[in-house]
Amino acid sequence: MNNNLYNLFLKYLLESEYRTIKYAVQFHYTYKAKPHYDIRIQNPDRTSQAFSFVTNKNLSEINKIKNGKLILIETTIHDKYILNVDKAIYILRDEYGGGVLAPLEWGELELLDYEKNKKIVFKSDKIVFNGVYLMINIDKNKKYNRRWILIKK
Amino acid sequence: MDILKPIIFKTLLESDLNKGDKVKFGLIFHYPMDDDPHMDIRFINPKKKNEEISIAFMDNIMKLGINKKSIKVDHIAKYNAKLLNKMFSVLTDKKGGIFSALQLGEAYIQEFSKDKIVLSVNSDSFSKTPIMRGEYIIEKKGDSWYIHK
Repeated sequence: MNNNLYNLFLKYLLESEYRTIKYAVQFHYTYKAKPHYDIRIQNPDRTSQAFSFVTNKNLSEINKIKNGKLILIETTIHDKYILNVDKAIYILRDEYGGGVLAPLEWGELELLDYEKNKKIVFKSDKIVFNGVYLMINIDKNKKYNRRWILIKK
Repeated sequence: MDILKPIIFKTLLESDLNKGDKVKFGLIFHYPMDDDPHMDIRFINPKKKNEEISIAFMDNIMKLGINKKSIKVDHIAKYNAKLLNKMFSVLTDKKGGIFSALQLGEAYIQEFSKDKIVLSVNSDSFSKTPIMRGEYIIEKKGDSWYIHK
């Protein structure tokens, strides 16, 4: 393989690291908090981790209007196994998140752009996420409970 | 599978159920394509070849029996499809949206009249501690239906 071709191949490999990431959308019926959606997105920099975002708004609204927007709150980072939940999990009432976690959609997203702590742009052709979505961190200076805005393009 | 055409009940007698019937039961979170997400209590009519009854509501069922006396039912309807027979966990339909089972099991019809049904739920294939267990009364008060434990 000549050098140019090798460099091209290397560039492709490096870029392709960000091409697809795992995600999951779950509905969480809790005893203590309001029922909410949990959106989990694999950390492109550390694939053993998943970012978690919550909203108790009607997530389906975002697909009904052009440039639909929704505020998400970033919560604790979870292990990647949260991305593989494929059937409802019952969590005891006194435990963290006590209630039921129901999977809605999971699989892979096409990652179009990513800047750590700033933005995530992804594409999906499923039901909850169907199209191109932009997520922007609007609380960059906060450490916890940062708000992100999710926009359907 | 025609999961989109509900036939809304005015009275439960349209369901042709009887006291003592053992029914296949499911508590389903439904994320439709063109409507608001909601919960369905669903069960298959054992006497009809192709009929499933659905009790749809928006409220949080976890709070029944804790600090809520009842939750309001959005509608009771029957479908010409046995969704529960096809469900193991999550079912995705391009027209109907996403159906995610929170509980699957069996229930008994303890009482039955045109304005009232008492369901006794006693099993769940997912969990030893099911969300719904014991008796649930679904009854009509005025023009609306309510569920209480």
